Amino acid sequence: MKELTFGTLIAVFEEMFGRGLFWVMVVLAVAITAAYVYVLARDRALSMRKFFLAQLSMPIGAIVAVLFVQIITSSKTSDIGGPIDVIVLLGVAALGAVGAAILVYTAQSLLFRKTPA
Amino acid sequence: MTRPTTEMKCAGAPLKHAFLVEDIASRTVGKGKYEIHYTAPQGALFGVPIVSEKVRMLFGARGIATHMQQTLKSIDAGAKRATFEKVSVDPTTKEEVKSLVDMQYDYLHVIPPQRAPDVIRQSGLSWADKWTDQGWVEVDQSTMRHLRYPEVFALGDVAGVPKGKTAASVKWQVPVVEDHLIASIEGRDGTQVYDGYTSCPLITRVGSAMLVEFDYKNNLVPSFPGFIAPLEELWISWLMKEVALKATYNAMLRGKA
Repeated sequence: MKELTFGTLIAVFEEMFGRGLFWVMVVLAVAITAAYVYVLARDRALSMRKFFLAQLSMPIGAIVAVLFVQIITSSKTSDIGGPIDVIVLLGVAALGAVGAAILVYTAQSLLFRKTPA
Repeated sequence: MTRPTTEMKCAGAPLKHAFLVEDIASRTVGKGKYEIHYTAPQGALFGVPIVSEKVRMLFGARGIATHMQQTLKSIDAGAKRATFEKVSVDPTTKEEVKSLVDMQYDYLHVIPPQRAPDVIRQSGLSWADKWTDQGWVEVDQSTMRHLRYPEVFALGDVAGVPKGKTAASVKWQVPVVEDHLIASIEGRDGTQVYDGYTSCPLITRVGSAMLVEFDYKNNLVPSFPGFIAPLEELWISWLMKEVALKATYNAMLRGKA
Protein backbone atom coordinates (compact mmCIF):
# COMPACT_ATOMS: atom_id res chain seq x y z
CA MET A 1 0.00 0.00 0.00
CA LYS A 2 1.33 3.39 -0.97
CA GLU A 3 -0.18 5.32 1.89
CA LEU A 4 -2.40 3.93 4.58
CA THR A 5 -4.19 6.62 6.55
CA PHE A 6 -6.73 6.09 9.32
CA GLY A 7 -9.47 7.40 7.02
CA THR A 8 -8.52 4.88 4.34
CA LEU A 9 -8.59 2.08 6.88
CA ILE A 10 -12.09 3.04 8.06
CA ALA A 11 -13.33 3.27 4.45
CA VAL A 12 -11.88 -0.16 3.65
CA PHE A 13 -13.46 -1.73 6.74
CA GLU A 14 -16.81 -0.16 5.85
CA GLU A 15 -16.57 -1.78 2.41
CA MET A 16 -15.50 -5.10 3.91
CA PHE A 17 -18.39 -5.61 6.32
CA GLY A 18 -20.92 -3.10 5.03
CA ARG A 19 -21.17 0.27 6.74
CA GLY A 20 -23.96 -0.77 9.14
CA LEU A 21 -22.42 -4.02 10.36
CA PHE A 22 -18.98 -2.43 10.75
CA TRP A 23 -20.19 0.36 13.02
CA VAL A 24 -22.44 -2.03 15.00
CA MET A 25 -19.33 -4.16 15.62
CA VAL A 26 -17.28 -1.13 16.64
CA VAL A 27 -20.00 0.00 19.05
CA LEU A 28 -20.29 -3.53 20.52
CA ALA A 29 -16.52 -3.81 21.00
CA VAL A 30 -16.36 -0.40 22.64
CA ALA A 31 -19.40 -1.16 24.82
CA ILE A 32 -18.01 -4.50 26.06
CA THR A 33 -14.60 -2.97 26.78
CA ALA A 34 -16.25 -0.09 28.62
CA ALA A 35 -18.37 -2.52 30.64
CA TYR A 36 -15.22 -4.47 31.55
CA VAL A 37 -13.47 -1.34 32.76
CA TYR A 38 -16.67 -0.37 34.60
CA VAL A 39 -16.91 -3.64 36.56
CA LEU A 40 -13.21 -3.54 37.40
CA ALA A 41 -13.59 -0.02 38.73
CA ARG A 42 -16.82 -0.87 40.55
CA ASP A 43 -15.51 -4.02 42.27
CA ARG A 44 -12.09 -2.48 42.94
CA ALA A 45 -10.51 -5.93 42.48
CA LEU A 46 -10.16 -8.72 40.00
CA SER A 47 -12.32 -11.59 41.22
CA MET A 48 -10.26 -14.77 40.93
CA ARG A 49 -13.33 -16.99 40.69
CA LYS A 50 -14.68 -15.02 37.73
CA PHE A 51 -11.22 -14.81 36.26
CA PHE A 52 -10.93 -18.62 36.47
CA LEU A 53 -14.11 -19.12 34.40
CA ALA A 54 -12.90 -16.42 32.00
CA GLN A 55 -9.63 -18.31 31.57
CA LEU A 56 -11.52 -21.53 30.85
CA SER A 57 -13.33 -19.73 28.03
CA MET A 58 -10.09 -18.60 26.39
CA PRO A 59 -9.30 -21.80 24.40
CA ILE A 60 -12.91 -21.85 23.18
CA GLY A 61 -12.65 -18.22 22.10
CA ALA A 62 -9.39 -18.98 20.29
CA ILE A 63 -10.84 -21.91 18.38
CA VAL A 64 -14.07 -20.08 17.53
CA ALA A 65 -12.09 -17.08 16.21
CA VAL A 66 -9.88 -19.26 13.99
CA LEU A 67 -12.86 -21.23 12.65
CA PHE A 68 -14.75 -17.99 12.01
CA VAL A 69 -11.89 -16.51 9.97
CA GLN A 70 -11.39 -19.78 8.07
CA ILE A 71 -15.09 -20.11 7.21
CA ILE A 72 -15.58 -16.53 6.00
CA THR A 73 -12.39 -16.69 3.88
CA SER A 74 -12.93 -20.23 2.47
CA SER A 75 -9.63 -21.32 4.02
CA LYS A 76 -8.40 -24.41 5.85
CA THR A 77 -5.49 -25.15 8.17
CA SER A 78 -3.53 -26.86 5.38
CA ASP A 79 -3.28 -23.47 3.64
CA ILE A 80 -0.64 -22.43 6.17
CA GLY A 81 2.35 -21.88 3.88
CA GLY A 82 5.03 -20.20 5.96
CA PRO A 83 6.00 -18.67 9.33
CA ILE A 84 3.98 -15.49 8.71
CA ASP A 85 0.85 -17.63 8.27
CA VAL A 86 1.45 -19.32 11.65
CA ILE A 87 1.86 -15.88 13.23
CA VAL A 88 -1.42 -14.70 11.67
CA LEU A 89 -3.19 -17.86 12.89
CA LEU A 90 -1.84 -17.40 16.43
CA GLY A 91 -2.77 -13.72 16.31
CA VAL A 92 -6.36 -14.55 15.40
CA ALA A 93 -6.45 -17.19 18.16
CA ALA A 94 -4.99 -14.76 20.71
CA LEU A 95 -7.55 -12.08 19.82
CA GLY A 96 -10.34 -14.66 20.14
CA ALA A 97 -9.01 -15.84 23.51
CA VAL A 98 -8.66 -12.37 24.99
CA GLY A 99 -12.02 -11.31 23.58
CA ALA A 100 -13.75 -14.35 25.08
CA ALA A 101 -12.08 -13.81 28.46
CA ILE A 102 -13.15 -10.17 28.65
CA LEU A 103 -16.67 -11.04 27.52
CA VAL A 104 -17.11 -13.89 30.03
CA TYR A 105 -15.60 -11.93 32.92
CA THR A 106 -17.74 -8.88 32.22
CA ALA A 107 -20.89 -10.95 31.74
CA GLN A 108 -20.38 -12.71 35.08
CA SER A 109 -19.72 -9.44 36.88
CA LEU A 110 -22.77 -7.75 35.45
CA LEU A 111 -25.15 -10.71 35.81
CA PHE A 112 -24.08 -12.29 39.13
CA ARG A 113 -23.12 -9.39 41.29
CA LYS A 114 -23.91 -11.23 44.52
CA THR A 115 -21.43 -14.04 43.85
CA PRO A 116 -18.86 -13.98 46.67
CA ALA A 117 -15.44 -13.01 45.38
CA MET B 1 -7.07 -22.47 -20.41
CA THR B 2 -6.22 -19.88 -23.04
CA ARG B 3 -4.93 -16.33 -23.33
CA PRO B 4 -5.22 -13.72 -26.10
CA THR B 5 -2.35 -12.04 -27.97
CA THR B 6 -3.42 -8.58 -26.77
CA GLU B 7 -2.63 -6.72 -23.57
CA MET B 8 -4.85 -7.77 -20.71
CA LYS B 9 -6.40 -6.15 -17.66
CA CYS B 10 -4.83 -8.85 -15.49
CA ALA B 11 -2.09 -10.98 -17.01
CA GLY B 12 -2.31 -13.35 -14.05
CA ALA B 13 -6.01 -14.12 -14.51
CA PRO B 14 -5.67 -17.19 -16.79
CA LEU B 15 -2.94 -18.58 -14.51
CA LYS B 16 -5.14 -18.14 -11.45
CA HIS B 17 -7.99 -19.81 -13.25
CA ALA B 18 -5.81 -22.81 -14.17
CA PHE B 19 -4.55 -23.14 -10.58
CA LEU B 20 -8.07 -22.89 -9.12
CA VAL B 21 -9.59 -25.42 -11.53
CA GLU B 22 -6.74 -27.85 -10.79
CA ASP B 23 -7.13 -27.35 -7.04
CA ILE B 24 -10.88 -27.94 -7.09
CA ALA B 25 -10.61 -30.92 -9.47
CA SER B 26 -7.89 -32.56 -7.36
CA ARG B 27 -10.12 -32.35 -4.29
CA THR B 28 -13.33 -33.45 -6.00
CA VAL B 29 -12.84 -35.90 -8.88
CA GLY B 30 -9.29 -36.72 -7.74
CA LYS B 31 -5.80 -36.62 -9.24
CA GLY B 32 -5.26 -38.63 -12.42
CA LYS B 33 -8.86 -38.29 -13.60
CA TYR B 34 -8.38 -35.02 -15.50
CA GLU B 35 -5.89 -33.23 -17.74
CA ILE B 36 -5.31 -29.49 -17.75
CA HIS B 37 -3.61 -27.74 -20.66
CA TYR B 38 -2.57 -24.09 -20.59
CA THR B 39 -2.02 -22.41 -23.95
CA ALA B 40 -0.75 -18.89 -24.63
CA PRO B 41 0.47 -16.94 -27.68
CA GLN B 42 3.39 -15.56 -25.67
CA GLY B 43 6.72 -17.30 -25.13
CA ALA B 44 6.60 -17.14 -21.33
CA LEU B 45 3.94 -17.86 -18.72
CA PHE B 46 4.24 -14.39 -17.15
CA GLY B 47 5.83 -11.09 -18.22
CA VAL B 48 8.15 -10.96 -15.21
CA PRO B 49 10.83 -13.66 -15.73
CA ILE B 50 11.31 -14.63 -12.07
CA VAL B 51 7.54 -15.03 -11.61
CA SER B 52 7.29 -16.93 -14.89
CA GLU B 53 9.88 -19.44 -13.65
CA LYS B 54 8.03 -19.88 -10.36
CA VAL B 55 4.75 -20.50 -12.21
CA ARG B 56 6.53 -22.96 -14.53
CA MET B 57 7.70 -24.94 -11.48
CA LEU B 58 4.26 -24.87 -9.85
CA PHE B 59 2.57 -25.94 -13.10
CA GLY B 60 5.07 -28.81 -13.32
CA ALA B 61 4.37 -29.91 -9.75
CA ARG B 62 0.61 -29.70 -10.28
CA GLY B 63 0.69 -31.52 -13.64
CA ILE B 64 -0.62 -28.61 -15.73
CA ALA B 65 0.76 -28.99 -19.28
CA THR B 66 1.82 -25.79 -21.07
CA HIS B 67 1.69 -24.99 -24.78
CA MET B 68 3.39 -21.69 -25.53
CA GLN B 69 3.11 -19.69 -28.78
CA GLN B 70 -0.31 -21.10 -29.47
CA THR B 71 -3.16 -18.71 -30.23
CA LEU B 72 -6.80 -19.79 -30.09
CA LYS B 73 -8.31 -19.32 -33.57
CA SER B 74 -11.62 -21.16 -33.61
CA ILE B 75 -13.90 -23.37 -31.56
CA ASP B 76 -16.15 -26.17 -32.76
CA ALA B 77 -18.52 -26.29 -29.80
CA GLY B 78 -20.47 -29.28 -31.18
CA ALA B 79 -17.35 -31.43 -31.54
CA LYS B 80 -15.79 -29.89 -28.39
CA ARG B 81 -12.68 -29.03 -30.34
CA ALA B 82 -10.52 -25.89 -30.16
CA THR B 83 -8.14 -24.97 -32.97
CA PHE B 84 -4.92 -23.10 -32.28
CA GLU B 85 -2.32 -21.47 -34.50
CA LYS B 86 1.08 -22.65 -33.36
CA VAL B 87 4.23 -20.69 -34.15
CA SER B 88 7.46 -22.68 -34.23
CA VAL B 89 10.93 -22.09 -35.67
CA ASP B 90 12.10 -24.45 -38.38
CA PRO B 91 15.39 -25.95 -37.09
CA THR B 92 17.06 -25.89 -40.53
CA THR B 93 15.87 -22.65 -42.15
CA LYS B 94 15.38 -20.78 -38.81
CA GLU B 95 12.18 -19.37 -40.21
CA GLU B 96 8.93 -19.07 -38.34
CA VAL B 97 6.47 -21.76 -39.31
CA LYS B 98 2.77 -21.48 -38.54
CA SER B 99 0.65 -24.59 -38.20
CA LEU B 100 -2.82 -25.43 -36.91
CA VAL B 101 -3.24 -27.63 -33.85
CA ASP B 102 -6.52 -29.16 -32.66
CA MET B 103 -7.23 -29.91 -29.03
CA GLN B 104 -10.29 -31.68 -27.62
CA TYR B 105 -11.86 -30.25 -24.50
CA ASP B 106 -14.58 -30.86 -21.93
CA TYR B 107 -14.17 -27.40 -20.45
CA LEU B 108 -12.58 -24.46 -22.26
CA HIS B 109 -11.66 -21.16 -20.66
CA VAL B 110 -11.30 -18.28 -23.12
CA ILE B 111 -10.11 -14.76 -22.43
CA PRO B 112 -11.17 -12.66 -25.43
CA PRO B 113 -8.74 -10.22 -27.11
CA GLN B 114 -8.91 -6.87 -25.34
CA ARG B 115 -8.78 -3.34 -26.69
CA ALA B 116 -9.63 0.22 -25.73
CA PRO B 117 -13.31 1.27 -26.01
CA ASP B 118 -14.51 2.74 -29.33
CA VAL B 119 -14.65 6.25 -27.91
CA ILE B 120 -10.90 6.09 -27.24
CA ARG B 121 -9.97 4.40 -30.51
CA GLN B 122 -11.94 6.97 -32.52
CA SER B 123 -10.61 9.96 -30.57
CA GLY B 124 -7.18 10.09 -32.19
CA LEU B 125 -5.52 9.67 -28.81
CA SER B 126 -4.17 6.16 -29.44
CA TRP B 127 -0.61 5.17 -30.27
CA ALA B 128 -0.03 5.20 -34.04
CA ASP B 129 2.83 2.70 -34.04
CA LYS B 130 2.18 0.50 -31.01
CA TRP B 131 -0.73 -1.78 -30.16
CA THR B 132 -2.39 -0.56 -33.38
CA ASP B 133 -5.07 -3.26 -33.17
CA GLN B 134 -5.87 -2.32 -29.55
CA GLY B 135 -5.82 1.48 -29.46
CA TRP B 136 -4.41 2.22 -26.00
CA VAL B 137 -3.83 5.93 -25.29
CA GLU B 138 -0.39 7.35 -26.19
CA VAL B 139 0.90 8.46 -22.80
CA ASP B 140 4.28 8.93 -21.19
CA GLN B 141 4.79 5.87 -19.03
CA SER B 142 6.14 7.76 -16.02
CA THR B 143 3.67 10.69 -15.91
CA MET B 144 0.59 9.16 -17.66
CA ARG B 145 0.44 12.42 -19.65
CA HIS B 146 -0.47 12.28 -23.35
CA LEU B 147 2.59 12.69 -25.58
CA ARG B 148 0.84 14.91 -28.14
CA TYR B 149 -1.87 16.60 -26.04
CA PRO B 150 -0.29 17.63 -22.71
CA GLU B 151 -3.68 18.51 -21.24
CA VAL B 152 -4.81 14.89 -21.58
CA PHE B 153 -3.95 12.15 -19.08
CA ALA B 154 -4.91 8.48 -19.19
CA LEU B 155 -4.74 5.89 -16.49
CA GLY B 156 -6.00 2.41 -15.79
CA ASP B 157 -7.01 0.04 -18.52
CA VAL B 158 -6.99 2.53 -21.44
CA ALA B 159 -3.44 3.75 -20.79
CA GLY B 160 -0.88 2.68 -23.38
CA VAL B 161 1.86 1.67 -20.97
CA PRO B 162 3.63 -1.69 -20.82
CA LYS B 163 2.13 -2.81 -17.52
CA GLY B 164 -0.46 -1.31 -15.28
CA LYS B 165 -3.99 -2.06 -16.37
CA THR B 166 -5.00 -3.35 -12.95
CA ALA B 167 -6.77 -1.59 -10.08
CA ALA B 168 -3.53 -1.79 -8.08
CA SER B 169 -1.78 0.18 -10.83
CA VAL B 170 -4.55 2.77 -10.80
CA LYS B 171 -4.09 3.20 -7.07
CA TRP B 172 -0.45 4.15 -7.76
CA GLN B 173 -1.19 6.18 -10.93
CA VAL B 174 -3.85 8.44 -9.40
CA PRO B 175 -1.49 10.38 -7.08
CA VAL B 176 0.94 10.92 -10.00
CA VAL B 177 -1.79 12.24 -12.31
CA GLU B 178 -3.16 14.40 -9.47
CA ASP B 179 0.29 15.91 -8.91
CA HIS B 180 0.80 16.74 -12.59
CA LEU B 181 -2.75 18.10 -13.02
CA ILE B 182 -2.46 20.45 -10.05
CA ALA B 183 1.03 21.49 -11.15
CA SER B 184 -0.30 22.29 -14.64
CA ILE B 185 -3.13 24.40 -13.24
CA GLU B 186 -0.62 26.29 -11.08
CA GLY B 187 1.71 26.73 -14.06
CA ARG B 188 4.60 24.59 -12.82
CA ASP B 189 5.92 21.10 -13.52
CA GLY B 190 4.79 18.05 -11.58
CA THR B 191 7.42 15.94 -9.84
CA GLN B 192 5.83 12.58 -9.12
CA VAL B 193 6.74 9.57 -11.23
CA TYR B 194 4.90 6.30 -11.79
CA ASP B 195 7.39 3.43 -11.89
CA GLY B 196 5.03 0.84 -13.36
CA TYR B 197 4.00 -0.60 -10.01
CA THR B 198 1.34 -3.22 -10.24
CA SER B 199 0.29 -6.07 -8.05
CA CYS B 200 -1.05 -9.50 -8.82
CA PRO B 201 -2.31 -11.65 -5.97
CA LEU B 202 -1.54 -14.83 -7.86
CA ILE B 203 -3.99 -17.34 -6.42
CA THR B 204 -2.58 -20.87 -6.49
CA ARG B 205 -5.27 -22.69 -4.49
CA VAL B 206 -8.52 -21.88 -2.71
CA GLY B 207 -6.82 -20.60 0.44
CA SER B 208 -3.35 -19.64 -0.77
CA ALA B 209 -1.79 -17.07 -3.08
CA MET B 210 1.49 -15.36 -3.94
CA LEU B 211 1.46 -11.58 -3.44
CA VAL B 212 3.41 -10.66 -6.58
CA GLU B 213 4.21 -6.95 -6.98
CA PHE B 214 6.49 -5.61 -9.70
CA ASP B 215 7.39 -2.55 -11.81
CA TYR B 216 8.28 -1.62 -15.41
CA LYS B 217 11.76 -3.10 -15.01
CA ASN B 218 10.36 -6.49 -13.94
CA ASN B 219 11.80 -5.96 -10.47
CA LEU B 220 9.85 -7.42 -7.58
CA VAL B 221 8.75 -4.58 -5.28
CA PRO B 222 7.16 -6.25 -2.24
CA SER B 223 5.08 -4.00 0.03
CA PHE B 224 6.00 -6.05 3.09
CA PRO B 225 9.60 -7.17 2.53
CA GLY B 226 10.75 -9.70 5.10
CA PHE B 227 7.18 -10.46 6.14
CA ILE B 228 5.26 -11.52 3.05
CA ALA B 229 7.49 -13.32 0.57
CA PRO B 230 6.33 -12.57 -3.00
CA LEU B 231 7.08 -15.99 -4.47
CA GLU B 232 5.75 -18.16 -1.66
CA GLU B 233 2.27 -19.66 -1.59
CA LEU B 234 0.89 -18.10 1.58
CA TRP B 235 -2.39 -17.99 3.45
CA ILE B 236 -1.87 -14.35 4.44
CA SER B 237 -1.67 -13.38 0.74
CA TRP B 238 -4.98 -15.16 0.16
CA LEU B 239 -6.50 -13.43 3.19
CA MET B 240 -5.44 -10.01 1.88
CA LYS B 241 -6.89 -10.78 -1.52
CA GLU B 242 -10.07 -12.30 -0.12
CA VAL B 243 -10.76 -9.78 2.61
CA ALA B 244 -9.04 -6.50 1.83
CA LEU B 245 -8.46 -5.97 -1.89
CA LYS B 246 -12.00 -5.71 -3.20
CA ALA B 247 -12.90 -3.56 -0.20
CA THR B 248 -9.94 -1.28 -0.97
CA TYR B 249 -10.91 -0.91 -4.62
CA ASN B 250 -14.53 -0.18 -3.68
CA ALA B 251 -13.25 2.45 -1.25
CA MET B 252 -11.15 3.87 -4.12
CA LEU B 253 -14.33 4.33 -6.17
CA ARG B 254 -15.70 6.42 -3.30
CA GLY B 255 -12.50 8.48 -3.40
CA LYS B 256 -11.56 7.28 0.08
CA ALA B 257 -8.57 5.08 -0.61
